[in-house]
Amino acid sequence: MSSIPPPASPPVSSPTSSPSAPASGEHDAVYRRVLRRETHVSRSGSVAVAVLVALVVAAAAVFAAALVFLDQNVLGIDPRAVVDGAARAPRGLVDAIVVVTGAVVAVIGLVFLLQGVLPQRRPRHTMSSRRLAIVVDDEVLASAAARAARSATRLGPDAAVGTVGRRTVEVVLRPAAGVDVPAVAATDAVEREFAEIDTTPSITPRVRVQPTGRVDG
Amino acid sequence: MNATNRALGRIALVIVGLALLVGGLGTVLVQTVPQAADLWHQAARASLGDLGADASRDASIAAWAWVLGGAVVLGVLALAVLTTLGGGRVGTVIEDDGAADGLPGEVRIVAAAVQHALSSAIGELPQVASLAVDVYRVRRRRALRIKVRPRKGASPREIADRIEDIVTDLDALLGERLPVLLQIARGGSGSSRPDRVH
Repeated sequence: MSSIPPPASPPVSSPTSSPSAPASGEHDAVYRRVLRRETHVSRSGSVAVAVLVALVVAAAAVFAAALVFLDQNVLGIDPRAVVDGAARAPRGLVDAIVVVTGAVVAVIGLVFLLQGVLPQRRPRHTMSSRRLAIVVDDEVLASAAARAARSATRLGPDAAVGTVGRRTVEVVLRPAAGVDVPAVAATDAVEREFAEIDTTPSITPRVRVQPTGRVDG
Repeated sequence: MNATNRALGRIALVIVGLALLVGGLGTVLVQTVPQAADLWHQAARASLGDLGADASRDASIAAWAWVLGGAVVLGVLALAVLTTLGGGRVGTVIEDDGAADGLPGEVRIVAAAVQHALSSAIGELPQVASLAVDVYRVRRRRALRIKVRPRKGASPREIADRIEDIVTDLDALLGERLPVLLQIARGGSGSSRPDRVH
């Protein structure tokens, strides 16, 4: 597809589709939204569970109200008697069962609450681009850092390990015993690589040579 | 990148979480601390009396009608939140009836066409192990998502530059600059093998 010739006339923006401006800032709002969503965890799983809990509670209440209206009971239990029992608490209730149930419910509630309140980033960075919105997983950055560090040395593919944090990347070189490693050249290579990648937030590389050599082929 | 309303979801999580937390802690306190139990008895006598077995038939019906109404409202709200989850993937990229004074008719480009074009172009890159292209609705517009799983050690900038060129070609082809998200993701089949050509 990269061989498709550009059309003779410049693309005409149409009235029904987007009012696209020629400038590169045309998708700023969309890109901001997309990048924010891609760098943060979706809570849809916990939201679904929380909503199901609410639905179950609502269904139980509807069922209980229906029983009262029809003056019926299920398995000999009248909802009104249940309310009376709850109102008399802790008299007539088994300590252990109530406390354990209450604690479990409280913990589930705390988990939902924290899920809703905490920001929860994903291990991802965004990259600058003229045309695209780009997110890149930290694992990909780490493996690129390891490759860059290794390319400046003569080490095997397993001898470099990269770890990416939010603002740092650390590359650990583990040369075989007796092999000399040009650590400065490796640092330069990783720095060049990350200057090129240009992530947000920016990443500072650090290269470390593990002094304890290993023995291998 | 789907159409989930995240703000609404988080509000629902906070409300349900608070309700469960307060309810659970309250139950434990009432059961173990006598002062809390006294407070609970006062509150229960005032508010739960009509729900009990000792209330008259009319008062009981009225009180439980409130319970029923509240439960129905809660259920409807819960279902409303549930319907906002997911979705947003669409089948057409462009629907265009042309200029106002043009011929009658409509041009429609379906997502599969763009998916195939991008997949065949990007799939040829040596750094890319696997990829997926999807079309989503974002802010009432169409947006593309290109998810790429690179081979081990591939340079993200190189991949980004190549795909940027391909997307520029796509712009020329479609005559419109769609918003495009490029996601460079870890793992995937073939990604453990390093790129053999350097």
